[in-house]
Order: sequence, then C-alpha cells, then structure tokens
Amino acid sequence: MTLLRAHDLSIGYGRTVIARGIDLPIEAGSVTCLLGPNGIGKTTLFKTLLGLIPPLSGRVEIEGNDLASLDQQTVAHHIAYVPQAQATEFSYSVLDLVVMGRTAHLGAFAAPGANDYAIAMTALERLGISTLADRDSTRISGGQRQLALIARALAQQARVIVMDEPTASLDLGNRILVLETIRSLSADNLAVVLSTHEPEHAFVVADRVAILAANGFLTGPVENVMTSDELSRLYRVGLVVEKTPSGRSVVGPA
Amino acid sequence: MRTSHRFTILAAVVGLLAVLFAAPATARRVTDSADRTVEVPDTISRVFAAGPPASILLYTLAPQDMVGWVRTPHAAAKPFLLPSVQALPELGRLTGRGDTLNLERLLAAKPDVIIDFGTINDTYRSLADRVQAQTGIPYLLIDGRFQNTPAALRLLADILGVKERGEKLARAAEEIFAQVDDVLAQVPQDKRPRVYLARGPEGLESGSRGSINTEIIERAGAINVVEGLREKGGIVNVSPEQLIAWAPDTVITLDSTFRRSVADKPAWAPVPAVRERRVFLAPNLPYGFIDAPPSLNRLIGLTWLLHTLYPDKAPGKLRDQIRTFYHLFYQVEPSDADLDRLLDHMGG
Amino acid sequence: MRTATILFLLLALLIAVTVIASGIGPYAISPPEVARALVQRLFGGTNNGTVETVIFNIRLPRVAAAGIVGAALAAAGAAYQSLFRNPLVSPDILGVSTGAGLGAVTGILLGLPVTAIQLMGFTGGLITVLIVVVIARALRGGGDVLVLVLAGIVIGALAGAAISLVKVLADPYDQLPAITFWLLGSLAGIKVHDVATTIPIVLLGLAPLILLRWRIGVLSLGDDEARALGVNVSRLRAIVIVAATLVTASVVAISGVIGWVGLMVPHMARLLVGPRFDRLLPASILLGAAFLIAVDTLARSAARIEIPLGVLTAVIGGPLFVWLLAHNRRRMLP
Repeated sequence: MTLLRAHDLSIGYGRTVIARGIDLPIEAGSVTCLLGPNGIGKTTLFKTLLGLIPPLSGRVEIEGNDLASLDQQTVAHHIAYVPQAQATEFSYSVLDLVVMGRTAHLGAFAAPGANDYAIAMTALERLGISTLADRDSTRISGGQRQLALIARALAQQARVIVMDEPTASLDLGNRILVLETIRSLSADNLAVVLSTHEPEHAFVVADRVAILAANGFLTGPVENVMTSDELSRLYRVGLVVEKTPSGRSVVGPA
Repeated sequence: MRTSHRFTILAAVVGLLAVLFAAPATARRVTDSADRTVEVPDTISRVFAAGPPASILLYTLAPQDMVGWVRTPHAAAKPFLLPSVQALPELGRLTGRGDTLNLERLLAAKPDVIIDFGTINDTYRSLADRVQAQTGIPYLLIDGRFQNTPAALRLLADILGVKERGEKLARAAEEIFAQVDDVLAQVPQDKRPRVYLARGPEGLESGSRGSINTEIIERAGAINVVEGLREKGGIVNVSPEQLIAWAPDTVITLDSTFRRSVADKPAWAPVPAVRERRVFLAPNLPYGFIDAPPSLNRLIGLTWLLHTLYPDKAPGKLRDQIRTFYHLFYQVEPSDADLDRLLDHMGG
Repeated sequence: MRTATILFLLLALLIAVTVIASGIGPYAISPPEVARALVQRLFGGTNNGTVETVIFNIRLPRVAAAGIVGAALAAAGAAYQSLFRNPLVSPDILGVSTGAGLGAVTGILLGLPVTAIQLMGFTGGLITVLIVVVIARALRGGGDVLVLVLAGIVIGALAGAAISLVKVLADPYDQLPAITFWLLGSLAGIKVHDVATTIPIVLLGLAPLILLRWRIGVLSLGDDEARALGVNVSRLRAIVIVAATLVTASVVAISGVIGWVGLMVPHMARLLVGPRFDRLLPASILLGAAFLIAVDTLARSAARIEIPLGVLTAVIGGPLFVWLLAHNRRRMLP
C-alpha cells in the first residue's frame, strides 16, 4: 500500500521555487533512493515530505490524509527522520538517544516507561548494536552513531523512514553495514527513502529511484531510470553503467 | 614750563592712565588647601562652585558672587534661602561622582574663579590643574574635612574679599565645636549613645565607622554601631538581624517614609531604639543636618545632635540656636511655622 | 548510581543546608533555642520576642528566599541550555536580568517605595524579553534560535546602556549607592511578604518546565529532529521562554542581579545525573536551592557587613567552574 505520496508538489522557501511537479509514491516494503547533484534541493524535498517546511503548492498525503492537516505528533507516528550523524553538545547515552524516538507515543507530560525502554533495546538489537546502549553517544564512531539514529527511527515505530545521506562521511565498512541494514528494513514492510551521492548505492539497495535534476523530477524503478544517458545528464559528465562479472551494476566515467 | 613740555607730561600721564585702565585687573597669587599657588583676579565677583558642598560654602560666605547652582534647590528648600539666589540657573557638577557640566557652558557663565570643597588628594589636584589649563579659569581646592571648617571659611573669605564675614562665620563654627566638646567632657565613654544611621526607605543602608555620611554623628561623640572593614568607612548594606545584634539605642534617619513606617516593621521591633521610641528624623531644609551634602550645613546638625542625644546637658534652647545659625549663615529668618516644619517628628 | 537515589541525596543535602543555615547568623541563637521557638510556633506557648522575631521574621524568610532564588535561576538556566542547545547559556541570554535591573533602578531613581521597585523590576524583565521575542519574530518568523540570541544580546546591551544612563542621572549621595547595591544582588532586606509573593509565581513558572521536562529535553536535538520526533517546537519554545522568564524576573525583582547560579548549577547537576533534561531539572532545582542558601549564609555571616550576593556567587562560582572543567573535561565538553 502507498504509505506516503507527494502530489504535484512544488518545494522551496518563500517565493523561491526549487523544484516543481513532484509526484512521488512511497510504497510499503520499498526502498527509494533520491539522487541529485549538490544543492539541488534534496534536503528541501525531505523536509517537505516530513512536514518540517510547508510545500509551495501541491500536497503530501500520509495514508490518504493531507499532511498539512495533521499535527506534529500524528505525523511522527507515520514518518521518522534519520538525519546525518553529527556531534551534539550533550553526551546522551546511546539508549537515551534511541528512547527519544518514543516521544511521538508519549503523552504531553509523560516520560518514557519500561515498555518504551524495551522497544528501544529491541531496536538496538535489531541493528546489532545493543552493546552500545550505555555508551556515550558522542564517543562512538560515525557509523555507530548513524546506526543509533536508525535505531531511534525504528523505536519510533513509523512505517516510513526518511534518511538524509546516511552513508556520508562513513568509511567503507560502515557504509556497507548501513546499506545492508537499510535493505533488511524493507523486508519488515517498512518504506525507506534515502538520499545519496553514490548512484551505485541505488543499485545495491533500492527498488525505486527518484532523480531531482535541474530539468525536472523523474521517478521510476531502478532498472528503468538508472541508464547511462540519464545519469550523464544528471551529473553533467559522461557516465556509463556497467555490470561486473558477479552481476553488480557499477557506474564509472565514460 | 614750556607748552611742549606740558603736553609731553600730559601725554605721558594720559598714556600711563590708559595703560592702567586698559590692562586687565591686576592679579594676585593665592595658595589653596592643596598647596597649589593660583593666580586670581584682585576683585572676584563671579564664582562657580564645582559641587554641592562648595555651593553651600559659597552661599554662606558670599551669595552675591554665585553664578549658578550645581543642582537647583527643590521647592521646599527655597524659603530657607535668600530670594536673590533662588532663581540662579542650574549649571551642573564639575567634580566628584559624575561630571554633568559642559566646559563650554562653564566658560559662558564667565566665572572669575572655580572653587571646590571636599577631599584633597592627587586625583582632585590633577583634575583642578587640568580644568585650569583647559579653560584658563583659576581653580581652587578647599579642604572639606569637617574639623577644617573654620580654617576653610577663613581661607576662602580672604580670597573672595569678605574677610569680616568669614571671621564671623568661622568663630560661630568654632563655638559650636567648643559646645560639643564641653558636653562630651561631661559624658563618660560608657554612657555615650550607640547610634545607627538609617538611610533609604527600608533603613538598611548605612555608613560604617569613619564614613563621611556618619562623620558628624561620630563627631558628636556617639558610637556608630556599624563596624566597617576599613578605617575610613563607606556606604554599606545591613541585614535586620545584624542590626538586632548590634542593638543601637538611637536611630537617626534621613528618610521620612522610614520614620513613619518603622513602628510597623516587625523585624525592627526588637531594636532598643525602636522599643524606646528613639528614632529621629534629621531635619533637611534647606540642606540636610547630617549629610547630603557633606558641608557646612552639618554645623547646625551638631547642635541638633547635642539636643537630641544629650538633652539634659545641651546648652540653650534648640530653636533659638537654629534661628541664630540660620540668620548668620543662611541669612534668613525662619518663622515659628517654618521651624515646626523643620523639626517635625523630632523625637520618638 | 540511580537517578532516584541521587535526587534523594540532593534533597537530603538541601534539608541539611537549610537546617544549618537557620542556625547561623549575627544574632546568636543556640540550637535548643531554635528548636524551642519552632515548637512554640507550631504548638503555641510563651515566646522570647527577639528570638522569635529573628527566626521567623528575618532568618527563615531569608533562607527560604535564597532557596527559591537558587532553584528558580538553576531551573531557568537548565531549560535555556536545552532550548538553545548550548551548555554555556545563562538565564539572562534573552535579557531578563538586565531588563529587570533597568526597571528596578528606574524605580530607585524615581524614589518609589520598595514594593513598587520590585514590581518595576519584575515588569522590566518581562517587557524586555517580550521585545526580544517580537523582534526575533519580525526578523525571521521565530523559527531560528540564533536570531533570538542575537536580539537578546542587542536588547540586553540597550538595557545595560539605559542602566548606565540612570546611574548618571541619579543623586550620587542618595540613590547611586542604592542602585549599586541592587545591581550587586542581596537578600538582606527580604521580608516574609517578598517570599509570599514570589513563591506562587515561581511555582507557576516551574510547573510547565517540570511537566514538559521530557519534551524540553528532546528540543536539545535541534528543531528539525525534535519536530520529526513529534514535538511542537514553536509552541514548546514559547512555553519555555515564558516560564523561564517568569521565574527569573520574579526572583531578580526581590534579590537583584545574581549571576553564575543559572549557568553553573546545571553543569554541576549534569555531572551528577547526566544531560537528560528530565533528570537534570529536578537535580538543578535541588542543587540550586542548596547552593544559594549556602552562599547567602556566607554573605550574611562572614563579615560584620553584608557581602553582596552577586559578588560571592561570582567569586565562588568562577573558580569552581574552572575546577569542574579541568576535572571533567571529557564529560562536559563534546
């Protein structure tokens, strides 16, 4: 089923339109990769999908309801946000960080209870980092922190998870770890939308790809959209898609 | 004598006279309290007082020479001052805590000299030298310490050319000091009153021992209960509990709100002065008897303190003495009604 | 150690400090006399007037006031540190203390009675923050904390300049000393009435901070993340600002400007219970109260004259802060 849908969406700030005519369906159990050059507006699109900024025109629907008509807490029941892992000012423990994901399910004056902590631990276990629970979140590696943020999104129990460049500034080992985790999430019938600079990630992890380019928005299944021509046009440099002997698609200069 | 010779002599005499009258009034050199030798005009008729204490000194000695006030006296004080000075312009303060005077305005007032009456130290010496150099107006520093009052009066009177009046005032001041010492000789140290000076509407601000604010209270032989951290005290904040511990038998206040409300303050009830209704409001027209500003106005405060603290030993009647003082120093004759207003709330 | 245990120990510390402080003062009262006076107040009986007056009219109100002021400033500081995502923020970041100072010294300049001065201090603080918020709103639609901070700096500087102007205009013999003492902070003149009027306002301001403590902690992650986690950021931010301003303005009105407590106590509390706001807030409240009661006891009994409270908190707080920083660098700085 369609968990989230952008209808003829125009995104931007104030009077500045960054992109228009965006039609993007997000289905349960899918992984959608958002590609686009630097500064094109990927983060703006995410913020609009999450309801953090209003659309300039068009609308975002969550399971049939207009996002604009819902309050923040309800939206959080449906969509979770995994930002890029950055150092914070406060040294929260990993478990504390993850249990903050339960906020959407708490009453206005409530604090997390035993049940919430249990859900948080389950999320950590799901991602294989339960041993980090009591560690200082500012003193773990970037990849571990990124996983912790994904765990927080899981604890939020939202069906759609939006990830902003989750593999940026991670080393190769952590990158592979995160990508494999993302793929396993779709197996749980969640929907994941992630942005990335690496077209190859789309091949590895995604079913659908969405391309935000200067000449418009394009979305479709990976095999259809990720052609050499399309990628060359997108990144304004000659690129070619090739298959390795083991069957993996790679992208390289033409 | 031939005509041409007469003409020469006449021309010479006229020339000499012309030079004499055209030249600026001859100057003389005087020494102020800071041992500065300053050149001043022979005749002085316009004097600028740099701060409130100097204003009062000048007003008592030579009100006719005043060019203006540092701060215009408020309406209630005016009846106790000469009519001629009541309307003088307000010019601002030149020294002390906070200058508000523009030097150009000072020059526009065309004073012959500037006088200042207060602390003598290097800071004030350098300030005097600077203003003098900048404006060309002679600047005189007079020692404002209370015990120096007669000498200050004589010094300034000599400079301003009012020696006779200065001598009269100085003698009166010496007489007041002598009266105080006479009374104190009859009061042994252990019978001296323990006094607290209550400033402000809550009465929790005071002057510690040796401060200029409590100077005359201590000169009148009273023991200031507020022990400060230094020998020369200053303004301090006091807690009601500390006050109860000190247990003063007399409280002197400058604030009528406090005087009216102290009986209703439960925190003050255990203080002996409050219990025995010995909270006195110091008169303050035209100027404070105790303080504000610290100048000659405090002389009559000494008299008032004598009658307040040692009523059975103080000589003469207070009202008569006030009348004499106001006649001599302020050159006004307060009526009975004025004196009532002045001495309102005297005594517990 | 579990948070609950730490909080319990802090409460015990607060009680101990209160009891000790009530027994110290320039007017010597022995502990049995204190106990007797308390018993008599509760159960009736003859009394020694002076001891009663000292304990119930002077000392206890002052100790209570010190506790309230310390608790309020620490709570406001902790809340703002979460709101502005910066552990170096003090309750005065939006100018409430400077504004309250301006209101109060203007009252002194006008020669108003003490209750009017306190009221002017209170309203001065509120109005200053209101101006800051309005300006920030007009500039960026209120969505950016940086604009709030900058507006707070500007308005705070303006209020500071106005205070300097008041000092120039004030009578140097009468009003200027009073203004100076007020700006240095003191609890010397505290009366029962001051405590009675401040307690309800402080409770009114602390209530939302305590009730919403979990969500306020989530605010420290940043606006976007907090929103995505389901928090109504703009509404919560408004509530925190109103609550923190209320408690700070009301205590500054009775105590004058007292610095360092709002900045430092949350740091000390963070070392004990960690950075989570829902734990930090109660710890800060208890620790702030105990801290200021202890410092005020020093202020009123270390010398014959009162040492201004603001001076003591800085003199004690500054080196203490440096010591804490040196020994806990890893845990305090990211």
